[in-house]
Amino acid sequence: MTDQATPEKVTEGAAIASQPRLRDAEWNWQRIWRRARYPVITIINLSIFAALWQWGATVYDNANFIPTFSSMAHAFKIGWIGGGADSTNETFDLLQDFVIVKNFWVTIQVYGIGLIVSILVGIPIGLIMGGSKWADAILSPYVWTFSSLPRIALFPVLVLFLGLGNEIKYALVILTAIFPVIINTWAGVKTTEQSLINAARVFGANRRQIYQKVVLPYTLPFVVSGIQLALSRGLVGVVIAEFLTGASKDGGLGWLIFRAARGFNGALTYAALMSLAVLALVLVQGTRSMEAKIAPWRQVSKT
Amino acid sequence: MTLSNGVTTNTAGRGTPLVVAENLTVGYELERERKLLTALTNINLTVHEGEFVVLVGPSGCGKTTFINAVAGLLQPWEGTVTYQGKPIKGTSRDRSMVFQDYAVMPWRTVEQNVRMPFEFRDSGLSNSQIDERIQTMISDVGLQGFEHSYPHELSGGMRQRVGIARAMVTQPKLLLADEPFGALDAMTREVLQAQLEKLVMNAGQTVVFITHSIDEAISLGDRIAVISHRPGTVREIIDVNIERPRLAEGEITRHPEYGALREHLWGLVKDEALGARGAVA
Ligand SMILES: Nc1ncnc2c1ncn2[C@@H]1O[C@H](COP(=O)(O)OP(=O)(O)OP(=O)(O)O)[C@@H](O)[C@H]1O
Ligand SMILES: [Mg+2]
Repeated sequence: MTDQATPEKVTEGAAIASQPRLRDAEWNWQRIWRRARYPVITIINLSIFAALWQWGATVYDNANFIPTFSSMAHAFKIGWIGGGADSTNETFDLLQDFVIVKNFWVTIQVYGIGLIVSILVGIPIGLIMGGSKWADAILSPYVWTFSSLPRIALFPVLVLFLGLGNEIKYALVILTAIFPVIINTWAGVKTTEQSLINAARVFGANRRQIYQKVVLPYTLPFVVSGIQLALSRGLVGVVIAEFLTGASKDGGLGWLIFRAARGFNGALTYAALMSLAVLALVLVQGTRSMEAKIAPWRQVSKT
Repeated sequence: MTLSNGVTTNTAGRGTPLVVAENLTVGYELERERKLLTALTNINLTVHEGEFVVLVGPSGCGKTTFINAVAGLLQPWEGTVTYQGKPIKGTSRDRSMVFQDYAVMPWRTVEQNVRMPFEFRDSGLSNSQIDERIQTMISDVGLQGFEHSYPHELSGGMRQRVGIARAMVTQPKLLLADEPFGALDAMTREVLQAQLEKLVMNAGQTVVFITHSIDEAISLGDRIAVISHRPGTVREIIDVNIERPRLAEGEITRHPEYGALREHLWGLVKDEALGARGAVA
């Protein structure tokens, strides 16, 4: 602890005492930089991107294809810019303010409820399949078939049953999101280390306790990865569903992007796309930190 | 020194038999290849109360399999293995185990791992007694200050000590220890070996102990069972008649019998290790 290297030159006690303080200060600056460098780099990076875009958009000068940032921001507030909006027979009045926000909300609802259902139903199915050979044998052909099938191919069939309303959107989100949850949960249960189970048995755990105290905690990080996958797959599902149904009902971000692009409204198209990108980014980052919080032991052992 | 050849040893003067394996054959079902693998065949071995039995033998000969059968994790294919005269059907509070691969729960802190045995079985102790036991045990293995660390924050040797503490915290009648000191540095190992010997001398702890170290086997064992290569069987049981304490007194290696014992044991183990590699039929 005490200074081993006492320099001969330092004669004053005050100088010796000030030295650690100085080091502390240096260390703090380093620490601040270490913490801040990634956000700072990202901000610089994105600013350069934005500047280049703005410059390119001005040079290219076709707002239908590459709008400027300022017009995107404008579109975010007032929605449709310019002509071509036919408000009759449309779900949303495209000329109203904050049309992006309203459609965003439609998407979030379908997506959120679809995801919650996928998680609440997918986890128990995965647990049962992992825990019981019978359930596994009975369910796995369906699970594997559905999870390998491009879910969008089911759309025409689903239309027959569900029509083009909200139901088919929920169906598509659930069909895309539930299988990663099921399969990951199943994999967690299946790969639980035998030696951990043996240890629990030696110390007196019964079947239920082994499941509760070993298999479930072991499976938890797998479930989290499954949910992460479900989040991104489900988002694809909801956007595609909105592409395909939106014109007839309820809208949503997917529909808005589709509709705006069809009307050559570049500003609105890109503004809606960016809202979607931000949503996806927030979700991915959010689940990353969720994984670190829920299963810290796994996070570190991975690096 | 008695080098008793063969599986039958003179058991006079020992305590009452605690674990008796008779013609024990056990192995594993290889699900993928749809066949059975015999790990141990025709094992005859008796562990008496208060006795320290060491198992040595080449890697893969079935040492872990044997103590798994004694723990009650595996059922015999043929023959029997009994505890206090009754066939072992499942695990018991009497028989605790240190696992070769530690088997500590990664989502539990050191303290929570050591507490595990108390969660599943009623120990008859009050909560404060349990807390005290856990605390003492953690200090005994030198992990004080790490109570709230997770296994991934510990070194391999520290994790192994968590496994040791967890196995011993309930003061089991029979301790099954699968290479418990394998990952430890020489100093820590000596400290823990001495602690274990003290426990054997003072409390009459019964131990079945697996090691790859011949010196450790001689330092700790009352008897050393040499297991042949797979399918393993008891090749020879060697009595170590060196008085205890062997470790507190310092160099056991200077004991007059040590050299001959070591040489004999080394010959056997080498023979079996070569056999396992197919050099000897
Ligand atoms: N869970 C298992 N499933 C299938 N085979 C196994 C299993 N565990 C062990 N075996 C086989 O049984 C044999 C004996 O294994 P065991 O773990 O008892 O050996 P060991 O003597 O403890 O070896 P080591 O000194 O390397 O720990 C080995 O050949 C191994 O391939
Ligand atoms: Mg082993």
